[in-house]
Amino acid sequence: MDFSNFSIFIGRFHPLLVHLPIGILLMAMFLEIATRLKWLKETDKVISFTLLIGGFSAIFTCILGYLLGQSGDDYNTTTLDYHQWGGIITTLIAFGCFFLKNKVIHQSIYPVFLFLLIVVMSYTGHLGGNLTHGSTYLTQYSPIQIGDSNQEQYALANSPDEVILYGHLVKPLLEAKCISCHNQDKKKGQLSLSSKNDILKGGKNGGFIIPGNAKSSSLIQRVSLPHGHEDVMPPEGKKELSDEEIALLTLWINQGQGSFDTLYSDLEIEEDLHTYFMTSLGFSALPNDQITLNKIEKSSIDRLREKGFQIRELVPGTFAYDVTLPIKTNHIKDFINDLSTIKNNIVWLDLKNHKVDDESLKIISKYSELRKLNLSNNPITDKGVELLLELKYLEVINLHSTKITEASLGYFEEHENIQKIYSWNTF
Amino acid sequence: MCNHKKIRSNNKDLQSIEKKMDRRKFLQTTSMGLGAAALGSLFGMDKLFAKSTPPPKGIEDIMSSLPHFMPKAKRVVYLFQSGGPSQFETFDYKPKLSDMFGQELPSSVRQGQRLTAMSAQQSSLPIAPSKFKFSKHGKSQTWVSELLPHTADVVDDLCIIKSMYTEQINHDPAITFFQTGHQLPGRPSIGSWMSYGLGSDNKNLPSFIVLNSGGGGQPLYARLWGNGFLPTQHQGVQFRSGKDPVLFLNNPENYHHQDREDMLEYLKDLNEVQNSAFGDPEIDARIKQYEMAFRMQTSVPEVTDMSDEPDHVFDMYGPDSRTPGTYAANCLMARRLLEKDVKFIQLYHKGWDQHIGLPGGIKHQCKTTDQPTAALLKDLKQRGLLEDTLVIWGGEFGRTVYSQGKLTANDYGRDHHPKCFSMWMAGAGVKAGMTYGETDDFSYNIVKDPVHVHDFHATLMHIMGVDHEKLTFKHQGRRFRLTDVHGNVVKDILA
Repeated sequence: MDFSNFSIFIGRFHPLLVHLPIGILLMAMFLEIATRLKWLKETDKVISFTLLIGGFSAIFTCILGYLLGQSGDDYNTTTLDYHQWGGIITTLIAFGCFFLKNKVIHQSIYPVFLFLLIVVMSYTGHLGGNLTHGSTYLTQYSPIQIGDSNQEQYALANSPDEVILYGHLVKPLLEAKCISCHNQDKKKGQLSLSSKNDILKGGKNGGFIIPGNAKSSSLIQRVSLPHGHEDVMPPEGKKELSDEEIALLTLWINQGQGSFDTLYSDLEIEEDLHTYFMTSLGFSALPNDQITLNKIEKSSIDRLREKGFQIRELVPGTFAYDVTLPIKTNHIKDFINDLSTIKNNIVWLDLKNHKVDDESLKIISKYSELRKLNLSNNPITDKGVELLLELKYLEVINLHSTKITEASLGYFEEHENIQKIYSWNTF
Repeated sequence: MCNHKKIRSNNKDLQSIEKKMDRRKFLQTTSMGLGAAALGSLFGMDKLFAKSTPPPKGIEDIMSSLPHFMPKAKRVVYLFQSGGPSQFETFDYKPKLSDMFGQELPSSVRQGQRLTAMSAQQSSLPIAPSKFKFSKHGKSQTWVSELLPHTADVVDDLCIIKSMYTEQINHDPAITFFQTGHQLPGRPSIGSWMSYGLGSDNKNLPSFIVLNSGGGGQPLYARLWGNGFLPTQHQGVQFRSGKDPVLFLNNPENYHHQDREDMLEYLKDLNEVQNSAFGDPEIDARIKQYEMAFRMQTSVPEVTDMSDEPDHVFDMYGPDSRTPGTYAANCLMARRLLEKDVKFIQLYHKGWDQHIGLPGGIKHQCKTTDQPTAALLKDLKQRGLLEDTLVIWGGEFGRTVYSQGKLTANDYGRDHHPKCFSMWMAGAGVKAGMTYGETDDFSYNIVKDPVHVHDFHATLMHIMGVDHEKLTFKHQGRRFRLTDVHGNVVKDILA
C-alpha cells in the first residue's frame, strides 16, 4: 500500500462530495419558503437540523477541496483562490444561519443571511465548475454568445480560397477535442489552448509545437499514441482523434509552420484529405475534370430513353449526360431533333453507324457543351464538319469512315480545345 | 384479406416481405416496439441522436450515386493470359543475368521464400537468363523482347506495370484472386461488379461477355466469370466458337420466332405471379434473362457473323483470325463487341505455364497472341474506341528467375513466382508510353512502386468512374467489395 498520494486520492472526492452541502443547504431554503407560504407547519427544528448538517458537510467538502487544490498546479490560481474563499464563506454563513435560526434575536436578519448563503454558494459552485470543465464549457453551446475579448474571431469563409488553416480548421478541432482541459482556468499540464499566445507558450514539457517538425512536436506525439496508452491525448474516456484530424494537425505544423494565418489554399494536400476538409467545411470538393450543368427535368430524359436513346448521367447530380443511340433508324434527323430538348446537357454524344448528314450537323453544332462527339461511319462531309467549329468545348471528334477530306482537319487548327481527331478510313 | 400466419425464413429478401405489415401486425408489434425503442435509447443515446453516423445505405442509395466521379473508360477488354507468362521473356529486361548463367540464386535474394512443391525439392536453383534478345522500341524507348515484335510496335500506347504482385502461388487461387478479389471461389468477378455497378449500354447484349481460347494448360472454370452473390443477370456470358456461340440460344428447328415470343410473354406473366407472392430476386433475374436471351437471338448472330469484315482486317489480326475460337478470332470478336458498347469483355488465353521447355513454349504462345493483341489495340485506336476503352493484358503471376528442372544452353523451365510480374494497360484513363515500378536485378523482388492485385482492381474501377470503397453488396450480414478492405488507386499511372 502506498499512502504517499493519499491526500490527492481523497482530494478527488471533492467534486463528488460538494453536491451534499449544495443540495442540503438549498433544501433548507425551500423548507423556509414553504413554511412562510404556510404550506408546512412547525418546521423550525427540521430547518435548523438541515442547516446544521449542511454546514458540517460544507466543512468536510472544504477540507477535501483544499487537498485537491494543493495537489496539482493545473488550476488557474486566481479562480482557485476565489473558489476556496467562496467555499469557506459559504460554510461560515451556513453556521451563521443555524445560530440565527435558533436564537431568534433579529427576525429580519435571518432571511437576508439565508439569501446571501444561496448567492455565495451558487457563485462558488460556478467557479468550481469552471475549474473542472473550463470556463467555456457552460456557454459554448448557448444560443446567445456573449462577447469574449479573449477569443480570436474568424469570419466565416465564403469560398475555399478564404479558408485559414488555423482559424477555420485547427481551432475548431482544438475547441472540440482539447480545450475543455486546456484553457485559462484549467491548465492541465500547464497547457492552455485558449489563445494564440497560450499555444505558443506550450505546456510544462515544452516543444508543444516545433514549426516544420510535426514528428518532434509533443502535440502530435501525444495525440498519435496508441489507444489505451497512459499518455495518449485526449485521455482515456474521451474520444480519440481521427486519422484525418491528426493529419490536419500535422499539416498545420509541417506545411503551415504552426502559423495562425496560413491560407489553406497555399498547402499541398492529398486529394482524399482535401475532399474530407472541404466537406467538413461545407464546400463541395469537386475534382477539376467534373462538369456541372444546368438542371433539367428528369421527364425529358425519360422521354428520350423511351425513344431508344441510351442516356447516362456522367456523375449523379451534374446534369452532364453521355448519350448514345444503339437502335437502328431511318429517321435519324427526327431523333436528333428530339435530342435538342436537352442540347445544353449533352457532354458525350455517340451517333456512330447512322445516316447522320451535314444537315443534321447544323442541329448538333448547337449542342454547346459537347466534349466528345462520335460521328464515325456516317455520310458527312467537310461542309458539315465546318459547322461543328462552333462547339468550343469539343475535345475529341471521331470522323472515321465518313466522307471528309483533309480540309476538315485544317478547320480545327484554330480550335482552342480540340485534342484528338480520328480520321481513319476517309480520304 | 390478410394472412396473419407468420412466415419464418432465413432469406433476407423473404424476411423483407414478412416485414410488410398489416394492421393487426402493426398494433401487435408497435406496443412492444415503442417501449423497446425508448429502452434502447437509454443505452445508446449517442446513437439515437447522432448526426455523424448516417443510416446504413440501401441498395438504391448505392446505385443512384454511381458513377462516383467522371469516368474515363466506358468499356474494358481484359486479355487474360492464363498460366502465368514469364516476365523475363516479355517485358522485364534483366541484362545482368546473362553473366550469371547457371549460378546459384543468392539466398539474400530469395530471402527464404517458400517455393512450390514443384521446385522446393530441387538441390540447386540455377539462374536462367532469358534466351531471347531485347531491344528498345518507340518514342518511350521501352525494352521489349524479340518474341513480341507487334506489341513492340504499339509500345508507346502501353502503360507497362513491372511491379505487380499477388498473394497466391498456385493457378486456381491466383486466377480466382485476380478475377474476384479473393482466393476462394464464390465472390463475383470484376465484370460482374462492373455490370452490377454501371449497368448496360446495350440492352440487346449482356454487359459482361467471356471468350476463351488456347488448348491444354490449366483449366478455366465458369465460376471465374460468375456473379457470386450478385444478382444472376450480372454473370459473364460465354461466347463459344462454332455454330452456337451461346449455347441453347437458338430455337429448335421449325419452331417459329413468334411462337417463342408468345411463349415467353406467358411465362413472364406466370413468373410475375410468383414474384408478387414471394418477391424472390432470383425470379426477377430469371425474367430479365429470358428477355435478354430472346433479344440475343437476333443480336448474337449479327455480332458473331464476321463475314462483313474485310480481308485487310483479318490480315491485320493474322491468319488465325479466320479460325473461330482462336485467340486472334476472339480479339477480333472483342472489337466487334466493344463497337456494340458491351461493357466488359474478358478473354482468357491458356497455355502460359512453362515449367519445362520454356523457350519453345513461350515462343509459341507469343506467336499466337502477339499479332492479334497489337492488332486489337491498333484497330481500337483507328476507330477511336481506345478513347473510352481500357485494354488490359496480364496473367495471374510471374515466373522464377531460376530454372525449374535442368538448365542447358537452350532449354530451361520456370516455376510460379507471385512476388513480381509484368502486366500492361492501355487506352482510356492510363498514361501511354509509361513504365511503372521496378524489380531487382533478378526480377525476384520489387524495389519500387509495388502494385497489389487489390490496387489493380481499385485502379480499374477508378478509371470506370467507380470508387472501389463505395460499390458494395450486402450478403450474409456484411457488405462486400471487390477489394474487400484493401486496395489503393495507383494514381501515378492515371492519365
